[in-house]
Amino acid sequence: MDEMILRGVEIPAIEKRDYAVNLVQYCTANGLLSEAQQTALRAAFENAAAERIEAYTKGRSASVTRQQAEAIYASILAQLDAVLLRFGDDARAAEALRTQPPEKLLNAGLQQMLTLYEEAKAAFRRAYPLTAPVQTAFFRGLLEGFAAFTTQYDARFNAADAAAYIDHSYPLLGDRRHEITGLPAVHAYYRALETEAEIISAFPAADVQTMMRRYAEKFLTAPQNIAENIAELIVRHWLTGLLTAAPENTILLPADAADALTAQFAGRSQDDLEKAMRDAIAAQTLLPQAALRAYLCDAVPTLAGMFFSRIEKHSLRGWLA
Amino acid sequence: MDFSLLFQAEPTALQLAARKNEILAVNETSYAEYGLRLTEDEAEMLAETAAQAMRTEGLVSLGRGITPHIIRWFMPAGYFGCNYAAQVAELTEAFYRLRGRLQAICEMHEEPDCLLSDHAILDYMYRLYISPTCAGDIDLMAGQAEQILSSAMTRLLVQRQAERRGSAHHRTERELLFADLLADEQALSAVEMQEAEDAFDYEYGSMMHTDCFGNYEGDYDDEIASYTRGTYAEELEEALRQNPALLLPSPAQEAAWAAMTEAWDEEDAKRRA
Repeated sequence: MDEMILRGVEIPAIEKRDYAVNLVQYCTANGLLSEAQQTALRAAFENAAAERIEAYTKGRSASVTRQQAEAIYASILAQLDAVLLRFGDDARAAEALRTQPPEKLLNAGLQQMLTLYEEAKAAFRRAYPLTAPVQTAFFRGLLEGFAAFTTQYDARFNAADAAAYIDHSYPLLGDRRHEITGLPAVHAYYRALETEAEIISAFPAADVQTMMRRYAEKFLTAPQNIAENIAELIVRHWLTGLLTAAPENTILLPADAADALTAQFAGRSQDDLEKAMRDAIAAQTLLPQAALRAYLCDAVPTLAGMFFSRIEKHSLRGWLA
Repeated sequence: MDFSLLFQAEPTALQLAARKNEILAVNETSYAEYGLRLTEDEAEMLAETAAQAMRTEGLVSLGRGITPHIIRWFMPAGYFGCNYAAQVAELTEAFYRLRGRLQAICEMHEEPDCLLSDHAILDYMYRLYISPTCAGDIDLMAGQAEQILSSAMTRLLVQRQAERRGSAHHRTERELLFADLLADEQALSAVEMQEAEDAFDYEYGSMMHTDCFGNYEGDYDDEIASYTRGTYAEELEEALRQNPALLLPSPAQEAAWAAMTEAWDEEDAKRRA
C-alpha cells in the first residue's frame, strides 16, 4: 500500500456492500496482498469457521448443513466488514488488511459487532419512550422485531440475518437508506430513529399531535395510521415555517404558509431552495446539537427535491397539514 | 493465484489428504487389537466416500472427519472381519445420511438446540448394529435407526414448539422493549441447571442405556430367541415415543463420550507425529 500511495496510485471507491470481499478482491488483483498474506487470511478464515461450527453445535458435531456453514462464513465476513468499515477510508482499510494479523482483525471485528449490537439496542430503548406521545401504528410495529432482535439475533452464527428484524414499514426521514448491510445497517437504522426521536421531542407533543390529527383528516385516516415518518412530517412543517419567517418552534402553520413558500421560490432553482434550507437550519437555535443539525443537513437534498417538485406543480398546500 | 474469501463447500486436496492420514493413524490400534489394517488406497477411498456422502446430504465439515471414530466405535462389535474397508464405507454413508436427515428436521423447525451429537448418532447406530436382530447388518441397522430417530426427533421438536406456544402470552410494551433482559432474569440459576441436569442424567441412564442383550430368555440368536418384551429396536422406539426428550443424551453421557474420543484422537495424533 505504501508503495502504491508513494507511486500516487489511488484506490477507487470500494463498494460498501460486502466490503471485505470487495476490498480483498481489489487488493489481490492489484498485487497489494502477497501469496503468503492471502494464505494466512484464508487459513485464519478457515480456523475461525471451524471454531464457530464447533461453538454452533456446542461441540456435538463436526458437520453442519451447507446453509448453516454459509451463514457462519458470512458472519465471519461480517466481522471483517465491521472492523474494516470502521476505518472509514479504503486506503487505511487496505493497509490494515495488509499489515495486521488476520486473527487480530477478526477479533476486533467481533468486538465491534458486539459494540454495535449493544449500541443499537440502547438507541431504540431511548427512542421508544421519547416518541411515545406521537407514535404511529407503524412505529409501534417495530417493537416486535426489536424484541426478536434482542433475544434471537446472534452475530456469531447468522450475522447477515440482522436486517430480517426490521421490515422498513416505518421509513426514515427523507427515506434515508444505507449502503451497508447486516448489523451495521440495523445499528444505523436504530441510531437514526434515536436522532429522529430527539428531533421530535424538541417540539411540544400537543403541537405534534394537532399536526398529525390535521394531516390525518386531510387523508381520511386516523393519526396512528399515518404511514409516513413523523420526524419528516414535523421537519416539513418546521422548515416551511422557518423559510416563511414563522417563530422557530412552530409546526402549526397558518393556512397561507404553503402559498407563501411557493411564491418565494417560484421561478428559482432547487439549489436555491436547498441553500435556503441549509441556512435556516444553521441559523435556528431550537436544535443546537451538532448531531441533529448534521442529520437534518444530510436529509436536505431529498427534502429540497420533494418541496421543489411540489412548488413547481403548485401542490405544496396539499402536502402540509 | 485464484483467491476468494467466499465460502467453498468442497474439501480441498489438502483437507482430503489430512483426513486420509487421520484414517491411516487408526491402523496401529486396529492391527494390534483386531488384526485389521487399511491400505493407503482404502484410506483414500474412505476419505472420498465421506466427502461424497456429505455432498449428497448437503453437509459441510471443516474439522476432523468422522471415519476414524466410526472405526474405533464399531470395531469391538467384531463384524469387520471381511470387507473391512467396504463396511466402514457403508457405515460412513449411513452416518451422514442419518446426520443429514436429522439436521434437516432440526433446521425446518428452527431448533439448533435439538441437534443430536455425532457421538449420540454413533451410539444409537452401534447399539442397533450389535443387537441380535441386526447382528452387523448395516442396511437393516441404518433403516431402523433412520425410522426410529427421525420420528423421535420430529416428536421432540413438535413437543418443544407446543411447550413454547403454551407459555407464550400477550407481551406488554415493556416486556417487548426489554425482552432480552427479562429472558436473562427468568433463566435457571446455575444450581437449578445442575439439579435439572442431574435428574435428566439419571432418567437417561436408566431408560436409554439398558442392555440390548438383556431382553431375551435363553439364547438371543434371533431365529430361536425368546423375547421378554420386544426387540431392542422396538424397546428403543417405545421409550422415545413415551418421552421424546430422551432422544438427546444427558450432558454427563456426552462428556463421557467426548473424553473417550478425545483420548482416541490424542493417541492417533501421537502416532502421526
